[in-house]
Amino acid sequence: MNHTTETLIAFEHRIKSRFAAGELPFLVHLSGGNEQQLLDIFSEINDFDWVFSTHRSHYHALLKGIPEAEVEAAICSGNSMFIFDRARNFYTSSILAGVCAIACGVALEAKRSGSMSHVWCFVGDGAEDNGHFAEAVRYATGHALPVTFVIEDNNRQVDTDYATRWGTHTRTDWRSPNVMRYHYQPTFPHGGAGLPPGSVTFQPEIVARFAL
Amino acid sequence: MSYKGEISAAMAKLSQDNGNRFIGYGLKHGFAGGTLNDVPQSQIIETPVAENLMAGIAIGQSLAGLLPVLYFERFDFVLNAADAIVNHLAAAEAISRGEFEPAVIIRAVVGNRRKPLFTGRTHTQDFSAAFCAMVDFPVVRLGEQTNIAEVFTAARTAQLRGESTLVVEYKDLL
Repeated sequence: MNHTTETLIAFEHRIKSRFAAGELPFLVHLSGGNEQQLLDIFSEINDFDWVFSTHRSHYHALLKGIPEAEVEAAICSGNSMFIFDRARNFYTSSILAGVCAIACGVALEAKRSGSMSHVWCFVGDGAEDNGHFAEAVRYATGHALPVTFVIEDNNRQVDTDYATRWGTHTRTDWRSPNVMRYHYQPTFPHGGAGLPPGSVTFQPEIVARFAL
Repeated sequence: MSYKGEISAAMAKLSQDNGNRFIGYGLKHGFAGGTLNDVPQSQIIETPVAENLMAGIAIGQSLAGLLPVLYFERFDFVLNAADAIVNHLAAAEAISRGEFEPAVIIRAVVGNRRKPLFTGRTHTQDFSAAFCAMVDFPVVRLGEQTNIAEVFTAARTAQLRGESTLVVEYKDLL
């Protein structure tokens, strides 16, 4: 499926509707506001490339070629944060900056073997705060690995803006050809569907099925 | 054969697999306390002293189809890599519903307590019990009576079917 801004937005709004209907008693992180940026980036990503994604993985998964029905099924079974696809080299971690070093390991072998595969590692500006990101960027830069870290900067680490947490608006200049950044204004909150607190009653049979 | 000799022989045997990679710092020069003296330099990936990065690289190498052996000169330092080991390596198969099964043989050395040079609390801790509680793959202590060759052969066999092993070595025995 060739996605457009409209199809991506429609997908997330369908998930929002199911959340509002009480069908999704799970933590979900909806995407929104970065459709065109991602369409541009994914136009450069090949089928054989690797994509490492984050807790907010729905758009990444769709644009890597995972069918909508598969992504939706994963979300509706409590795996919004755990979408993986071996055949499409799509890997996710919802632990802050957790995939950065793993991406380096894959890229290292791609370089050593002479593979055409490139590794794309998406992180938020919250993950950029983390030392694991800095270690990976230094390693990838020094070894000229075929990996691009894409900072999806929505000026938000959970709910806290950059200046509040770092005391400055000025972003770190990583001075690395392995790092790119784009900015966007998110259309959904960090977690959930942006609905008023207490407005959703989760369906008891679904809650019972998934309770640990 | 000595304890160190048995570990060295096991490492040499692991290196017979072309896809084998030894990952860590101090390997190109220190050779992991001399236990990698007989392995090809081409299989050694020297890293910065950044334990979580080391562990993440090992996971990535496994995802790329290789057979990584990750070396920590002190078990104390493994705590810096706990995120990669516990939240990623140990969890990957479950959270990916079997799509990915990265497998790493981890070597962690407990510092010497009974003979010089003494290095103090933060270089001699044994977290075997803690890691047994945190990961769902075997944590194997190499004691004086352990069949070391058997342990590493089993670890490689497990690795080939997508399972990791944490092997705990004791510097007092080296």
